[in-house]
Parts: sequence; C-alpha cells; structure tokens
Amino acid sequence: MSATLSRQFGRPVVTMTLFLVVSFLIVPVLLTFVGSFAGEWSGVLPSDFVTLRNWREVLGLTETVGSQRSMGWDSILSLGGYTLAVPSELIFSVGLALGGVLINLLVGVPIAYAVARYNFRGKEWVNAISVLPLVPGVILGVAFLRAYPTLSGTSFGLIVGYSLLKAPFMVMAVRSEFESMPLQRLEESARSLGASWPRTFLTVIVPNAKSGIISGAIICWTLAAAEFNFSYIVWAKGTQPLALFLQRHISNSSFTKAAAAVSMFFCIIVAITVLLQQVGSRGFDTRG
Amino acid sequence: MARITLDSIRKRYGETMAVDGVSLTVDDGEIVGVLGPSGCGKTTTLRTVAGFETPTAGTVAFDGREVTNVPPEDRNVGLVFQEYALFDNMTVRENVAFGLKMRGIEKTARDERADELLDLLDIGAMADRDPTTLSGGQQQRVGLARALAIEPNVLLLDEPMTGLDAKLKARLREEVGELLSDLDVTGLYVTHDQEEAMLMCDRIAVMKGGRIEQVGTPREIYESPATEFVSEFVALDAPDLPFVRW
Repeated sequence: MSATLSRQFGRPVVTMTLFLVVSFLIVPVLLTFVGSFAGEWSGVLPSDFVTLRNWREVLGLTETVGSQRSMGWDSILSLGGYTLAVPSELIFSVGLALGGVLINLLVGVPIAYAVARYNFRGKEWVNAISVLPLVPGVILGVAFLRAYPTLSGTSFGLIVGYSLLKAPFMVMAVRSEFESMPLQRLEESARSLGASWPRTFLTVIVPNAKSGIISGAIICWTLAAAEFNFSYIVWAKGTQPLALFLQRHISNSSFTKAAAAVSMFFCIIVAITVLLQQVGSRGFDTRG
Repeated sequence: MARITLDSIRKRYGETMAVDGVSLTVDDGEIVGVLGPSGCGKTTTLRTVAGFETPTAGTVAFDGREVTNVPPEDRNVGLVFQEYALFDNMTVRENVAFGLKMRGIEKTARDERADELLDLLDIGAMADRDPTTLSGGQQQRVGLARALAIEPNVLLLDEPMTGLDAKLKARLREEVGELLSDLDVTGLYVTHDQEEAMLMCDRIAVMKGGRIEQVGTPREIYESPATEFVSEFVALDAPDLPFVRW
C-alpha cells in the first residue's frame, strides 16, 4: 500500500519540488542574461531585442576610445577604426582572486593536513583560528586598515585580505577530504616504500586530496572575486575590483547594461571554474 | 629477508606503558604472529619495527645491525594494512612500482617487476585499473604486491584480513599463506583473530597489557598454554583446522 502511495505521489512531489526550486534559482539568471541583449528594460520583462550594445560597452568594444576610457577600459588593440579594449577590471580582479587562492593553497592545505593528521597541543586553537576569518568582510576590512595602514589600497593588501577571508573554506574543504581517507596509513605506506616525508606529502598525500583541493580553490576564487565589503573598504584608487565595478554599473547605468555586466561576471565564474577543474585534474595526474 | 630482533622494547605514552619490555626474534623466512586483544600493544610493536615509533627503551635490529634510530624510509620494510591504503592517484601497476621508483629503478624494469608480482597474486589483468574500482580482496592483493615489490627485510601485516568477508578471508588465508612461505618472507603478522594467527604463522606471540605472555608454535600455544589468559584467548570454537602448521 505505502509502496504504491510512494510510487504514485512521492516521486512526482519530489520531482516537482526540485523543478520549482531550480527554476526559482535559474529564472533570474536566465532573465538577466536575456535582458543583457535588450534595448529596453523598464517593465517586468525586457524588450527591444536584439542588440549587442550593452555587451559591446561592457566588453569595451565601443567605437570611440573616449567612451571606453570613460568606462575605465584600457585599449589593447586598434584595428580598422575599432579599438579592442579589455576591461582592466576583469584581468585585475581575476588575478587578485587567483592570488588569494594561491596563498590559500600554500597555507590552507598544510593547516588542514596538520589538523586532520596530528594530535598536538593547541590543535583546537589552530582549527578555530583557521575558521575564524568567517567574520564579515566589513569587520576584517576595518581591522585590516587599522593594523596595516601601508597595505590599504594596494593590490597586495586586497590579495592578502581575500586569502584571509576565504581561508576557512579552503581549510574546511581540504580537511574533510583528508579526514575521509586513511591519511596516516597512506603516509606510512609511502614512507615504508622509501619516500621521504616531503616527497610523500607532494606525490601521495596532496594528489589523493585532489577533489577537496579543487573544490576548495573554486569556492575560494568565486567568493573572493565577488567579495564586495572588504574590497569597498580597502580599495582606494586605480583599477577597481570586479565587485566594485559591478556595483558601479548597477547603480550608474541602465538596467540592461547592468544585466550585461552581471552576465559577463557569471560567464567569467563559469570559465574560471572549468579552468580550475581542468588545471586541477591535469596537474594532479601523475600517470603516464 | 632478514632476521628481526626486538630486545626489551618499552614504549611509554605519557602515563601509559603501551609496550612493556617485549623481546622477540623473527628468524629469516619465518612468519611470527602477534596475537592479542585491542590495546595490548601489538600495533605499537609493529610500528616500532617499521620505524614509526621510537622506543622509550630497548633496541630493534635487522640481521644483527641496530636500526632503532633509522627512519622508516631507510629500513626497507613492507607494510600491509587493514585499510589497504592504496594510492588512488596512481594505477594499480604504479602503486606496486612506487617503492622501486623511490629506489631509482628505471621505468621498464620496475613495471616488469610489478607485472610479475601482480600475475603471481592473480590480478595481472588489473594492472592498468584505478585501484578504487577493485574489490576489497583485490585491493588487499595490490597492497601485498606493493609491499613485496621492494623485497623488504621484513613484511609487516597489520590486521590485513579484518575488513574482508569470511569466505574471501578463508581463500586469501590459504593463498597468501602459501605465497608467503613460497617466497620465504620474514613476516610479523598482527591480528586479534586466533584462528588466522594459527593458520598463517609459524610461531605466535600472545600479548596482553604490553607484555608477551607466551611465544611458541601454534601447537604449543594451543596444547600447552602458559597462562590462563593464553588458554582463554586461543580457545577455538571448532579446532578442526586443516591448514594449521602443527
């Protein structure tokens, strides 16, 4: 009886719920993407299709150098009247966030390893401190400026800040990966087979934690690239981090242009995620 | 292979004495079982031989040469664990060849040796597979091949059959037992399963509370237990064991 009930109602209900939730999440993204090709978006739905104007402007493909400059682009190539400019924010932000991820890898993986592998005095403290920077970016930003005034407004300051803010995600992702495998046994096997400790760590331990490290890197990158609060407080002048650039577009431009900027950001996130995944699985592949 | 000598090994962790004066000799080509309940110090003893624990007192010697302070990677010891602990980032063949790679043996030679061992263990067809796709019994064979590939001074087996089901256990016990005696392996076999120890080992050391209660052949242990603990611990439900090395 209950089996029939479950077959009749259970599965359709679960499917429907899943469908509704996914649609609820996807529709705004799709609508924004579609809207970025519209000339007008004053009502509920965008209209006046199809124009590439918004994308051209966001990507810096406008006809005049002046209008690009006004957007903050750097022109990199002039060809037959058209100037190709790359939004310097793009490269700058991708780089800043990747810099943060790099620091997180170098610091977070060993911390995760130490906490997962060893029992030592103060282990709980190390664990707590590595998760502590989950504090909001505003708080860290203000504290950061007070403590290191020389770093304020510098790219290095932003990179260090991003890595600090996002470190917990790296530590947590990698730690749970380490904890899901027989870490001590793996290490002891490799050592007994003649591998020194550094070699064991680099050729056995780290590659075995591959999936945790990749997902940690993706989470850290995405969150760092989109970090608004910390960027807003620490950034002073020069090229803007992506989050600030987006905010400027959203508050100062037409809705359709904002849609193009947001869509572009979305595309970058997808691209970097795929890239990190590819680099990750190649980089760890010790075969052949 | 080598003759392993443990002389009055003591290991203290803070207040507790994990191993309290263990002396044991494993002759060249002999498999000695270390049998006892959990917490009796058998795994600590094994880890001391491997070099992962430095004893508080006492010495470890391979063929008369003291190795007490030699790091694990320089002891040439093979380890097989209950958890298999295979390297998932490598193929089965690369797992087996890992120790040879660390010894600087070139690729074709080490692959050849790995394939030989895999064939010997009847899993030659799995050489290019990802170890995670293998069954528990197959993974354990890979672990054994990996440890044997370096031609270790001593093979240390830490509850190698504990995770396997009874039927597979019975088969592996027979096969691995024969293989180990064919290859003339010197081995230390840690287990809490008296039946397994009786079947696999030439001699058995029964441990309790960090000390050895009795050392002897399975027959001696079974027929004339030295203490009440030994007699209780080795009492078998069905003592009709066809492979026991009486």
